[in-house]
Amino acid sequence: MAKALFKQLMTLLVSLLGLTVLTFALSQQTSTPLHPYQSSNLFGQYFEYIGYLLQGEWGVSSIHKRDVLSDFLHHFPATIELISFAILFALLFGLGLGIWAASKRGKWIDQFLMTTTLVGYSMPIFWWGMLLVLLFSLTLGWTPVAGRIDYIYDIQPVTGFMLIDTLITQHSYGMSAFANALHHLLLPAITLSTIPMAIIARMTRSSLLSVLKAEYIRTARSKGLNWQRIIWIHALRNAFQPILTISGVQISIIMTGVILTEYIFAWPGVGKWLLEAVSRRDYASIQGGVLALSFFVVIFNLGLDLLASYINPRLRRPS
Amino acid sequence: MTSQSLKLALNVYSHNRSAMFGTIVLAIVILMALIGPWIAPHDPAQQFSDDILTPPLWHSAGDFKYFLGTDDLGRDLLSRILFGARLSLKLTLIVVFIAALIGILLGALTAFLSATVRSLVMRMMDLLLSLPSLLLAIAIVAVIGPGLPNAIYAVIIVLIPQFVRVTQSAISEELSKDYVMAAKLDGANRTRLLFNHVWPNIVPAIIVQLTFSFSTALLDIAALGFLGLGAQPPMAEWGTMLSESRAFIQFAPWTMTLPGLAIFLTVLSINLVGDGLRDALDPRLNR
Amino acid sequence: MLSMLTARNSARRLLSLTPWPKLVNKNNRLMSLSRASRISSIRRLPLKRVLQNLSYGLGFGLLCWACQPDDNSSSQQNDLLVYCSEGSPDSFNPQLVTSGTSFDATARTVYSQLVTYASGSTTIEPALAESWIISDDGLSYRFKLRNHVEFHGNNHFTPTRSFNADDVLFSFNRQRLVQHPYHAVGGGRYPYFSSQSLDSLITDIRKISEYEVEFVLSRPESPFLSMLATPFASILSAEYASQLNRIKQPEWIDSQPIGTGPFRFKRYQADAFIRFERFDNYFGRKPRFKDLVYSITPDAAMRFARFSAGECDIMSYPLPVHLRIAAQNNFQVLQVPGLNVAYWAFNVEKPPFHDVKVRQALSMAINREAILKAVYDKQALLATNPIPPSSWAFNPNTPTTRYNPQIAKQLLSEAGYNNGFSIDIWAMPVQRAYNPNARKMAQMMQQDLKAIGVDARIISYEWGSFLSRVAQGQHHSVLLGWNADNGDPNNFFTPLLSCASADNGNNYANWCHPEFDQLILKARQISDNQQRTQHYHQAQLIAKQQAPWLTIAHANSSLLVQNRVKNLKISPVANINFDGVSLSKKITKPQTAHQTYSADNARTAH
Repeated sequence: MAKALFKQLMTLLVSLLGLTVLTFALSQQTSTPLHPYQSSNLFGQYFEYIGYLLQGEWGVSSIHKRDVLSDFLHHFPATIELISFAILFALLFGLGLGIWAASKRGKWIDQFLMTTTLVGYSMPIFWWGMLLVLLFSLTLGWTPVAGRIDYIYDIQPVTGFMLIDTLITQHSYGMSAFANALHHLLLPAITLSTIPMAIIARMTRSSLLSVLKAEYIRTARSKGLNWQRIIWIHALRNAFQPILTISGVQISIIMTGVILTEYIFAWPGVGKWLLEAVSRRDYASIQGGVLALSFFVVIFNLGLDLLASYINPRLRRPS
Repeated sequence: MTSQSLKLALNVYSHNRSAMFGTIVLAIVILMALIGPWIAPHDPAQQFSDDILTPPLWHSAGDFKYFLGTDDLGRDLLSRILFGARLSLKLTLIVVFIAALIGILLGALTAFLSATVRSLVMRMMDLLLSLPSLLLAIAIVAVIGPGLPNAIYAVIIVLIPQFVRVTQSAISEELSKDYVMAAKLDGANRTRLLFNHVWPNIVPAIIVQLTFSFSTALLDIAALGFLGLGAQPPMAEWGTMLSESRAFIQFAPWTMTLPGLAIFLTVLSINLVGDGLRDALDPRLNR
Repeated sequence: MLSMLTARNSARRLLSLTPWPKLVNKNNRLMSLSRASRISSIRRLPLKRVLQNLSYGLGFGLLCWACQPDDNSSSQQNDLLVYCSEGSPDSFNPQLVTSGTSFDATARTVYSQLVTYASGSTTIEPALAESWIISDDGLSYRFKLRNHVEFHGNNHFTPTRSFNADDVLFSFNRQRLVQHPYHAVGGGRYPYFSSQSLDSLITDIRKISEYEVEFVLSRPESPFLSMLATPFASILSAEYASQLNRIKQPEWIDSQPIGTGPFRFKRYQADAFIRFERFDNYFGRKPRFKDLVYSITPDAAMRFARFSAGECDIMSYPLPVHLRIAAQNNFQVLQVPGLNVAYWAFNVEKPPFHDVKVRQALSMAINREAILKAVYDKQALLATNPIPPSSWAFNPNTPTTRYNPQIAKQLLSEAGYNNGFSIDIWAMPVQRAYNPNARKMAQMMQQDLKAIGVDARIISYEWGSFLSRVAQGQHHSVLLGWNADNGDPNNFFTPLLSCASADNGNNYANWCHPEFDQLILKARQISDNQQRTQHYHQAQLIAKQQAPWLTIAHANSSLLVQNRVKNLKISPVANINFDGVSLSKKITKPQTAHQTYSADNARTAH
């Protein structure tokens, strides 16, 4: 176990070094150097750059003169909130659809669901988000167009997570503010969850089907256990592991999606912040944003790997 | 791949209804892209300033002159979508083939490397793979500047690791098989081995990867265009058309729905074809 | 791989516990806890509060996914005005910046000035100064200050005295004197102050008494009073500055502003919103609503979407096409002829634009009527002169440049360009009041120029680097414009077309014409309006004949306003001013603007 952990950490280190090389290249684009480097050659500057990063000095944005790291952390909770809800939706509905399809294998409903998920999987989400806004926000008026909460609620940002802040607010409208924040989260989260939901549904279906072929399921069936029980209790437990493994791929899909979703819904998260930095050629913010987001993805993947090997020791690969 | 297994694969493929649907749609899109310039009613850049934002034909205010309506500059939408198909498919082809060429070569080269170096290279590829493609593309575009050529380089770089990964894992899997061992013992050198024995057996995996790369590349190019980092106006590129139409979403929805529909249908058909190919070609999934 | 994993599952797992009963238990516990906290109602305990809110919130939230906020909250809506603005302010101190966006967020909300424009016009009226006397030689301006004007307070500062002459001195000397303790705070650059060469104009500012100050000028400057009404002349608190010095946070003066304006700054969430609150001790007419939010929405399409869904009460910088949709859907559309100009500047230092014939030829090749229709949707005036007709100095006798490709071609061959040539058009990447879409404009010009054999390449950079490159003179020709920040015609001529501004300023044609320069210099030094007018008329004729620019349009300034907002006046200079605005009690449900924008409408509208 210790050896495996060591290997994982080494991988992490290599990944982070690779990342910082990329962002160092990005930081070289600024008109004035990001940090006051002592060294004159690039190699020396790179190590100084790493040093500054470790001290939490990620530079100052060239437009607004704000500290990049604190700017990132300021925008990050909004993104996390959106991602968490999207993942929740994706898991809930993806698992549901997958199980439903698997239990109706070969029937028209199975085919219909699988076609639907393929449609979801192929959806350009920047278009999908616009369609949803057009229908639900602009035509029907059911959902808000943009933002995290109505401005009638003056919420003191404490954690940066709107849902939490609305709950700990001292003001009398805590409950309706919370509902309002959820209401704002709905459409962006649905947009973002579409592709992961489709993947999870397909994954669940195929892994369930292969589990159901297994010997012990047949044994259980022959023992007279009812079908629903088999699916819920036995099959799903085992099918869940591959779904967890594929989540590593999901996070990169979700991060791509979140950039586009935030752009469409004017969601004040890191994706929108990063895009604005790109359009202003604010390289200090770009390098910080790319580094921090990649760091998040790498850490997330590592955590997932560890979780998977904790749940299922057999996954601890020798190499 | 023997001719018999090819026949089998074809047989499986042609009985896959959704794959056939995808093939037909894709064929239509390709046909449109090929003959687009000859059937397009107008020059895609020509501005009919008297007919700004004409709705499509089926709308009561539609005009026979513009089958799918016009955009905010009075350009014919049908012509722009046709030219857009040509542009998008051309770009996608270029991107995927360059990425595949580099990726496969790199993947094959890893077979000659020592285990440590190989694992280092693969770690780097894994890192690139785990990063969100759009984030990587944005970072690259940020360094070399927005614009179509740069967006293309970015998408190529994003796609390469997938090909390296697929090639490398397919090769190492084949190399560990008994028949390769036998050939090795026979004294065959590595290059000969790769070309004569391994290559034919990894082609299916690469073909499947190729088709999925088409949809990724198409989507990424469109997304970059949508974000204003790829093709620049007045170029008739689907993603760029979408972003230009954002301002009119409420009152000229056709300028938004139609280019988006074009992207969606193309991606969907490529994915359907890819699914069908995988089912047909991947021996591990053969019933 | 999947089958491998699953096949290895042992039968042991068959007997393991199901997760579901546990979850139900948890739910029950959660329920009972929240009930308990409701009964005990100890509100200070945050955990209980969280749980209580959570149980309410989850229940309502899930049931109420698609419903509107309840009545309780909508009653508060009468006290809140949401203004959808186009961008984040660069600073909360208008002295440090030049962008209209920053001015809108500061100068008319938090701050007030010595003098101001009457609501909706460009006439000067008293504000912090009650009255003033200008000496006969035009070199001394003496202001009598208003008594009992209070400053705002915040967490770090409670004012102990009201506004007096020290605050005026502090506000101007910070910009004027390099050795001033606050001069270097915030970078030490005061772009507006230096671009108007106020550092050389103002020789001294004297405190005559607590409530009297005198500005001493080095030369007569007739637009001076207009300048004092502009945002850079906002009055900051000297007492706040010294308080911040004591706690060693001088830079907070620019990020946590204290002023004497109608609204108190409350909170700024970067790139999302600015929250203001009515200042109850405001010396002028108090706002009729309590809260003011600037919702920062840079994307015009998104801004309009939010407006038409009722998420904002006022929308800044609507696209021309939004105006028509808004009018069709019975929203208020406020428009005023703007004090602005959009132009195409030829860089006369680069051939072939050194040749006046080429400049004239290209000017005649552009179909400006078509541009007015497609880019401005007719919400603009065709520009004949650099200044708009609403200015008193406008010369109505300047000949209009007519669209005529034939003569343009002829002129080109006279100039020796029979075979045409190729040029670059730099088109700015952002939407501005004077030009809603420069790239679109450039695309249309590209087509027009092709007709006379000129190949045009459109070049665009990100806004910041675009401006700095153009300032360096890298461009060939450029599409830009100007928004006047005060009502004086000098505000167009000197910064845009004088010889001095060719070296360092906004003269992007790099055009320096001695006779023209002399005329506009004289015009700003004499105070007799009739004489000034004569000079300006002559200058406009020269500018037309020399054609350093093709003047394109004077766009209307416009705002979209919900019907519940009453008495909003749009001003030709400042984009937004909440003076006298009230909100009606009745909430009119916004109509959704999904009406089709059909070709028929487009044809009948003009």
